[in-house]
Amino acid sequence: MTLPEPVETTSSPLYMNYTYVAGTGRSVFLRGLNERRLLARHCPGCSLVYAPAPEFCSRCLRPVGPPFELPGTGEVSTFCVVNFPFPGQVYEPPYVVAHIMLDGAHNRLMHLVREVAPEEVTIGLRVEPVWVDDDELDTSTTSIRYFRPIGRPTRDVAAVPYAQTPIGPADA
Amino acid sequence: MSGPLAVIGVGQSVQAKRREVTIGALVREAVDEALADAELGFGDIDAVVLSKTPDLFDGVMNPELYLADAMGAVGLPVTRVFTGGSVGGHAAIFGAHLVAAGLARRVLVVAYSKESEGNFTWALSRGLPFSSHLGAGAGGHFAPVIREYIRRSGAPEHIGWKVAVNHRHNAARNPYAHIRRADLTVEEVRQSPMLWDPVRYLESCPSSDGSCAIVVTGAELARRAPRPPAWIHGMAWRTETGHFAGRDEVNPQAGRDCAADAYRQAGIADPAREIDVAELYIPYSWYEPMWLENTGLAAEHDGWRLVDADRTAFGGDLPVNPSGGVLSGNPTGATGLLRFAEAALQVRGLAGEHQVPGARRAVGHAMGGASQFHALWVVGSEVPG
Amino acid sequence: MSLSAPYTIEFPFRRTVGPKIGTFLAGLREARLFGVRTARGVLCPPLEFDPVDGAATGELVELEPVGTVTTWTWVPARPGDPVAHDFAWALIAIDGTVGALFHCVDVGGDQDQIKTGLRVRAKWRPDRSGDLRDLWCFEAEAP
Repeated sequence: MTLPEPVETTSSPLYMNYTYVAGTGRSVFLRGLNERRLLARHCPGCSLVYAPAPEFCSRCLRPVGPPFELPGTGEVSTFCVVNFPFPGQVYEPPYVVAHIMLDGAHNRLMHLVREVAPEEVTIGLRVEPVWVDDDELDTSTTSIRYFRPIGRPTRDVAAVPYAQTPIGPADA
Repeated sequence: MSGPLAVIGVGQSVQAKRREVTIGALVREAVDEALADAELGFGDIDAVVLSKTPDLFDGVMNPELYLADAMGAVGLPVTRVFTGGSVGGHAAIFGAHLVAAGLARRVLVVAYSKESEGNFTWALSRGLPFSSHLGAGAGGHFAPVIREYIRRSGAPEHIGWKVAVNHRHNAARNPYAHIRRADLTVEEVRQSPMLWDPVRYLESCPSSDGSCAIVVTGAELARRAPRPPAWIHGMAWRTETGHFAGRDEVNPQAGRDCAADAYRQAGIADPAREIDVAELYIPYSWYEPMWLENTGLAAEHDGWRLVDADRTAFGGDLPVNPSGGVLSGNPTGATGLLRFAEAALQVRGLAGEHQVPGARRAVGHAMGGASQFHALWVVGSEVPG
Repeated sequence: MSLSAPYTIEFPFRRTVGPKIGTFLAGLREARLFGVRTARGVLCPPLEFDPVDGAATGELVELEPVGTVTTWTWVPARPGDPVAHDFAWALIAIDGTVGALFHCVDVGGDQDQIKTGLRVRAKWRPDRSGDLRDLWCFEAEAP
């Protein structure tokens, strides 16, 4: 008996249709974006401010308070420069993906930083959002086209280790 | 606790792109080797614990059913553990808990990844509704955290290159490792393409296929094992959520608490001095100094100084990842268990060419998610107590 | 109220099938049926490890593509099914094997024709690619 030459691999595609649910907390933030507003919420347990905010503070597990608007300016907490192409990429490399701490918030929003050369971006860079035109506004972070610099760092971030960054009431 | 616990069998497959074997056969390679090491058969095992990569990365749902035959789990309780990249470490601890609880006498802990059957990096970069499409693989997540560490610690940029070289040199002594480069130089790492600035190509882990298995048992059976056991002196796991306000992902609280708990159980007051070798979950080179600090093996902001002084290189006083670590082979579902298993091999004196001479106490460590899951054990050549 | 949106996950995995199942699939392409030896008899379809004791299976054996229905369920045909009319999904014990193979039994849409113990023979697709679908269905053996 001669055995046939074995088949080596077989296609096994995975295809699933879901309904993605943003969550009631996050939806408040997303609806704000549709109106060019950056909405924050305060946790009554730890007094920290979330923007974007979940429904519950994920450290105290308490429901967060009502939304209020932030000025929208912020600071680059940290960032990377995506430097290489890959399948499905939306932006042309190199581009800066930053963790942005909005003024008045204690968590970070991830977004692009543009209108500045990647090598000019620094931790501590002050930034502001650049919104899309009215017809492109959506309940999505895509309502912010990107953040752009509004000046040089106002303080030497290296001199303020993260662990000593003041964490306290939101009125700061 | 029912008394001391120990690892009496360790097995692993070669890590590589293993297109020629099925997932089942890959798993069986490690299982066979672990059982042979312990001189046991399937009939001697009372429970099986399985860990693997998240389902979207390999498209396998219900692996505990799919692999029951490959794991020899006929008629046995099988449990699958899920915690992202740390899963193998969690599985080892869960297996040990089954013995400690008196629910099993010998537990087979199995882990695998077959990443060549899909595309792991881009599975991590899917766009989501309501969001700008910013994902760029795991490196896109960890690179900003690394930049923050560099900024805080004031570490010079060559630290990352040096770690990349150390680990690949170590891997050259490990026949199971995927990337074995005894000839790699700092210059070559420095010249390699920048992927996610500040992370370069040669500072990043590969995507590997591979498997690992261990046998965990209690003191009585460990004393009868044919080869020296690795005694478990302390083990802990901790979790934190990914996005709470004020979270420090550079030095996560859960990781610090996890290590502190394991050292407390082990009676270790000064980890840097009392630990002889560490297998840490380092997928990007900068995570060596970061995890040295997070696991208490270096003071905060000082981890890079150990690297700079060659103390963590093979031959240093605190060698890190003598196996070559994650940078030299990353079958994600198995990577955590490999760290735990390599720590066990070191204190058993069975690590072959990458054996750290006289290793008596070793740390195995695993991290998962966005540094949300942490698992760590301390194993020793002597019975704890 | 939460916002929601449709979301599709799609990945093109490609599985290694290994030498045992790989030979079985290659056999289907040639309209040949293979089983694999184990300590307790021949398994068809072949597996790498015997699910009863976990032991690695042995050599491949060519089988006559004929067997006996051991149990079945009658189903209305849906798009994508092997045949266009109603049929039975059945467990078929291939002659000379232990265990059974799960496949479609086509009795011309007449439920009265399907029964446990029915002798059936493989019907092959004319265009075969080394895939389980090369085995179109099983049909009742001519009496």
